[in-house]
Amino acid sequence: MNEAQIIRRASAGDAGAVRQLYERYAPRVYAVVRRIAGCDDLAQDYAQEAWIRAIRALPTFRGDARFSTWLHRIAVNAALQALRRSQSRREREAPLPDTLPVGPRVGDALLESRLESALDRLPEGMREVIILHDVEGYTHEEIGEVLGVTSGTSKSQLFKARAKMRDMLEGLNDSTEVREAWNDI
Amino acid sequence: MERHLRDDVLARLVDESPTHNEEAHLKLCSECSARLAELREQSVALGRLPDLRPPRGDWAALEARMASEGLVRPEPNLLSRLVSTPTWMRTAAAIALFVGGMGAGLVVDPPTATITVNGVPGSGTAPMLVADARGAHATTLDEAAAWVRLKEREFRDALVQYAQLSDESGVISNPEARMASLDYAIVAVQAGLEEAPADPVLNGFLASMMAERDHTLRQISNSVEYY
Repeated sequence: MNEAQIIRRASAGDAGAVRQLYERYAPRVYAVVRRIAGCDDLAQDYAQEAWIRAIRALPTFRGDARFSTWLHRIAVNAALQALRRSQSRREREAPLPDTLPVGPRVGDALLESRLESALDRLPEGMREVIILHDVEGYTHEEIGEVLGVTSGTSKSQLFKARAKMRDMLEGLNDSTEVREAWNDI
Repeated sequence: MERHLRDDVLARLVDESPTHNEEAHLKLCSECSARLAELREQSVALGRLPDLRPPRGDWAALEARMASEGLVRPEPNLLSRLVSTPTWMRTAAAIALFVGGMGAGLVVDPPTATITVNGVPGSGTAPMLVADARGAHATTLDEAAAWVRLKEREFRDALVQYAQLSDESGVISNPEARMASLDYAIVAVQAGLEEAPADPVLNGFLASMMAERDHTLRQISNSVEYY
């Protein structure tokens, strides 16, 4: 069964088809909502909300865009809106995230952990922009559309976020470990 | 060289062209060049961050919510699938059963296994579901682990028996026993949730059991002429 057929069946309420979509895209969805949420506890709720919205909206999916792109945008919007709604954000003590990456961990595990930790510590506005731009590959125009800001604001936030993140990584890096990891890139 | 490019300027140069002056500065200033190189490497590394595996129990919780909102039709033999779920989930269920047996005062007397919850007799029987206080006396980790493994086996056996209570055609052969099994499990998991209210596995499991219970009630209602 190809993806279009799976989507049609899922749209008609076939739980097995929905599960196939979930198994295919859950890591992608979870990754973006986890990074936007900034912590594991909120991420699971955000991911569930994203999936619920997507399944509700499935009958409107016309296939003009790739399903993965469509779903990703829903996940980003769901996470951002949930984040806006949350009344109290946790203090960003930023322990290393509990979440497990998909696929085998190689020599860059330390670097990934530190990057995730630094992302979690960024102020919300900066974090959203750097995640959408540097991690997810959105353009400033797309970010402006999603966040409701101008592309100039998006750029400004991105540059501040990059600089702040570099400082934080430097602070975390009291040894040569990160630099060695950089060299492996 | 005394003055350096500001950090936000360097961050801009990660993916934008420098002005003439900036370019000239970078050629002469090794410190700024190095910082720019680090910022570029940082952005490349961010773009290579891997996808993340959702927490265990995520699908179960989502499926239950979708079913409760009428977004999907539950897959057949939901409980049969639970029997083949990973060990961690069965273990969680076993722990819930254990906690439930202790916390809710739930007693099942083998071999007929009449269910009593807080002194009130239940509506049927649930063979193989056995809860007693032995686990409370575990003094070592090994003893506790052995207890959990025993509970896991018992719970799995109970689920197998539960699944066997309806045949492939969907006709419920023993609705009272089936409902009793479900009620038992629900009470047990609810008691477990009192200990760990935010546990996603237990919440997902409870939601699944509740959905299955509703499904069973509808089946009984639809086939009432058989009884």
